[in-house]
Amino acid sequence: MMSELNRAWRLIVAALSFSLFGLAGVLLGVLVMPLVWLLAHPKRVRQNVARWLITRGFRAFVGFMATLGGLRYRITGLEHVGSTRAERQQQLARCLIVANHPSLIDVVFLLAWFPEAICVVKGAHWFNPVFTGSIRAAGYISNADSLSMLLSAREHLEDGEHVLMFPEGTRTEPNQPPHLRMGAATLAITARANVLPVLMSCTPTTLTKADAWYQITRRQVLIELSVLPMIAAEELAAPLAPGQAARQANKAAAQRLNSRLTDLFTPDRQ
Amino acid sequence: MKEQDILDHLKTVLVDQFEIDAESIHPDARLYEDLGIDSIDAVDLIIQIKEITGQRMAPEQFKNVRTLGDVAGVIQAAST
Repeated sequence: MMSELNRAWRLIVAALSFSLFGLAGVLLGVLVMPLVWLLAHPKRVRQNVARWLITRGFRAFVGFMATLGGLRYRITGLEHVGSTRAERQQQLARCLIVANHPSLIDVVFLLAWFPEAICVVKGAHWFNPVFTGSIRAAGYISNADSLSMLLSAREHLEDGEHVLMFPEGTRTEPNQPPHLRMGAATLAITARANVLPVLMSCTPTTLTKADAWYQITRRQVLIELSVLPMIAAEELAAPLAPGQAARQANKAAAQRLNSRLTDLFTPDRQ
Repeated sequence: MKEQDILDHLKTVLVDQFEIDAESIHPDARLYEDLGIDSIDAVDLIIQIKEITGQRMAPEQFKNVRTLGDVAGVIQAAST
């Protein structure tokens, strides 16, 4: 009886959360971001302001859902990126953060905890009214065209920033091992970036490609964000010189990195 | 820069650095399908071109680049 009541309550919280997210997204995109474009100059400042708004909003949204009992969450491994703000900034410079993608809510957590990351975003979102205003103002990177995505992301990494990317390009198929496309590994190798793997989990599984928003789980959902140890660029050992041999070595290095990340993201329990 | 100069530069880089047949190189040659250039190669190629021509080109300009002619077009647009 109590568990059915709790489930009914969580359905209400889910409905509220989706509505709030959609509404806030549209308002942010349509009302706030144009102001940001107008008032914040130069481009760098505007992008930082937009990212701050988005990520603070996400952090508040996480708090909202957790406080109302819609979900629980656990963040571990942040010590892998340093314990002070200054340390974090240093550790994250030129870093490609890669995460698996079991549920819809992953991005919200990742950006809430890595607010200065430049996110590689699904191309379709540029045409979604909830996201488009914010994405454009923040200067996030579209994954629609792989060459321009690689060049953009590489530029940001060379500027010392950090990029967040989902190697799968979409949410994980439920109950399947992750299928990592080569974009993230290719980027890490060509940009000679450090790689920070972050393992997301969602138990029980929900908000996958197979679930509708109103299919509320029996037990309360636990979202876990686990930062794994950083993989240094030197470990990936890609030579810098141009030429066919170097490129072949880079391609092999990208394949090895892709396999390694696939292993890290494959759950050992069902 | 003149379009022909750009194409000549591209040809040199492709033959010397990418070991591609000079005969395959023409403006309509598609990077992936005809020349076998994948993403790692393409990024390398563009970086080398940037160094040779000294042009700064924004990543967005490379969206929808499919052929060598497209690449040359982006470089030429950047130099005007």
